[in-house]
Amino acid sequence: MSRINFDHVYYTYDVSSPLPSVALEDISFTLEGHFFSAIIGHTGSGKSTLVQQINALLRPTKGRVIVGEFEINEGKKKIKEIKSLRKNVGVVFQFSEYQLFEETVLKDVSFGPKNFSDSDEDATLKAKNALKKVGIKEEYFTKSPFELSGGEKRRVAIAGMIAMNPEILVLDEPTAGLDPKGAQEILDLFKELYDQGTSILIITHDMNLVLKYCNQVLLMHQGKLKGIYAPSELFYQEELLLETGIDAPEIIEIVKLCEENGLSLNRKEIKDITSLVREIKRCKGK
Amino acid sequence: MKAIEVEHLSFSYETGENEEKKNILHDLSFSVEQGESIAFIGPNGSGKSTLMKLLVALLEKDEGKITLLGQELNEDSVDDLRKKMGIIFQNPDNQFIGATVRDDIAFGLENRLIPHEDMEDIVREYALKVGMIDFLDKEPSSLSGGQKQRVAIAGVLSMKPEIVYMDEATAMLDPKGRKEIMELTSLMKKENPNMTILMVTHHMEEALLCDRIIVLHEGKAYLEGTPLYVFSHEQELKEIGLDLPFNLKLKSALKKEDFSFDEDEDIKEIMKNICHA
Repeated sequence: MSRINFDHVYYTYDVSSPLPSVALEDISFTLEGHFFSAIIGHTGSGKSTLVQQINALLRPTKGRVIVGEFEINEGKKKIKEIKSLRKNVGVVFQFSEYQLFEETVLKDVSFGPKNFSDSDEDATLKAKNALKKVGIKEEYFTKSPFELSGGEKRRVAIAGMIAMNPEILVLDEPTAGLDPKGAQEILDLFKELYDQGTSILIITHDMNLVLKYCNQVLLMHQGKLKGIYAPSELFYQEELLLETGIDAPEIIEIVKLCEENGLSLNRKEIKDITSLVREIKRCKGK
Repeated sequence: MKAIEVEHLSFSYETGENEEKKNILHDLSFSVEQGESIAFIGPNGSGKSTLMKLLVALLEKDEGKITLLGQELNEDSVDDLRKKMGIIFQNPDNQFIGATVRDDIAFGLENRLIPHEDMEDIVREYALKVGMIDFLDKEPSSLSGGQKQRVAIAGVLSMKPEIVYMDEATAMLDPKGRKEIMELTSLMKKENPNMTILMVTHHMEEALLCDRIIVLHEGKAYLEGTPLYVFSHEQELKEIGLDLPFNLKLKSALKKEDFSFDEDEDIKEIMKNICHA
């Protein structure tokens, strides 16, 4: 079962320099079971720093992070099981298409499984399955990743992670820079992976995505965890949003307007335009 | 006068293997009046960014003709024409050159040999315009993405360009940064009625700010017209994977569920009427 636990985690950049900058301050939370969660927060709130702790790219200055059975602490000692940790938690970074490097699409995606000591054959099979899942056609397998469009490259990069079949998939801004259809396809893919048992953690500025897909939201503000909320609660808390610099999805304003005009909508049900219209119909007895 | 005239423009990349050619733009023609603002929207791979690169001669066309400000774009004219163009790129980190905001805005002016005593005034003038006057001595690392893009815009505006290109200038910004840049773009238009603006964007709300939208699909102009006209073609847009801006999407969803209302009315009024119906 997937589990991420932060236990009083601090992280300071350039800790021994004259200008240390505190990026994370006393972060504690637990995500467990089967989750589809989001980390949100204003630029510079510590979101990306937090994610890098999850697969030990950065280690806490103080405190510890426990992912599954792995503990990542402040120690300098090498974490022996780091490979197996990274196999369990796949992190796809922002603008991941810039990280493609192999000669062909297929080689790029099989790099991960191969690296985790699968035989060439197994690695290729896993890569093929992953590419199929993200909707990359077979005729692309032998092409150079650099011949693909931006959206296709992004999907290849994600396939590289899926090929390792991680329990938890962490994605930093996976939809940024994609056209609406490309973004939708990627989100459908995450939903499918989630339904098949993978836990998903997304860092995003796209609040529509958060409202529609996520079941919980971690709100970061100035290096601290402000709280964990259900999207349908968070986006109605005006003062909190103002303080943390978060814009609610446009639909929230419409929900409030309807409520002010006498409709008693079930906020929990409203995740996008379709469900809003459905709720309005219900209220109007249509 | 026409600021931009593109006639029968084609471009393809060679894809290495078997010398196969990948068509990016195919026989594209359009023109832009001086002072007009145009948004290019289209799915990934539709040729938007390629078009921008051709217009600033970062790529060379296969066929066709590009005329900018009455002058044909070619080897002889490119240097002269580039002085009249400004470009805002997608990644705010890739275009910050100076060590401070002041140096960064001054960079272009220095290249143009503006006398030093005038430079400080010009820098201050444009820093004020983009709301960065209090940040003149700050380093880029202490700025947000939106602030960096505002500095880039100040640098571009200080050169008094006749044509400004914005190539997904907000794609890497958070919602607040995007809003800042959208507001600044509107202001830019108002203050410089003769400046021609071309933007490439995935955000339909940004396209709404422009006078005209050209939808690119597979290297061709798929739809073209005012935002109102383009966004009235929901089905055509959907077919190529594009979306409507939020308000229009909501109106369309309500219509499908047989709510009746006046489509030209403000969305808030429509919602109120529906609630009280």
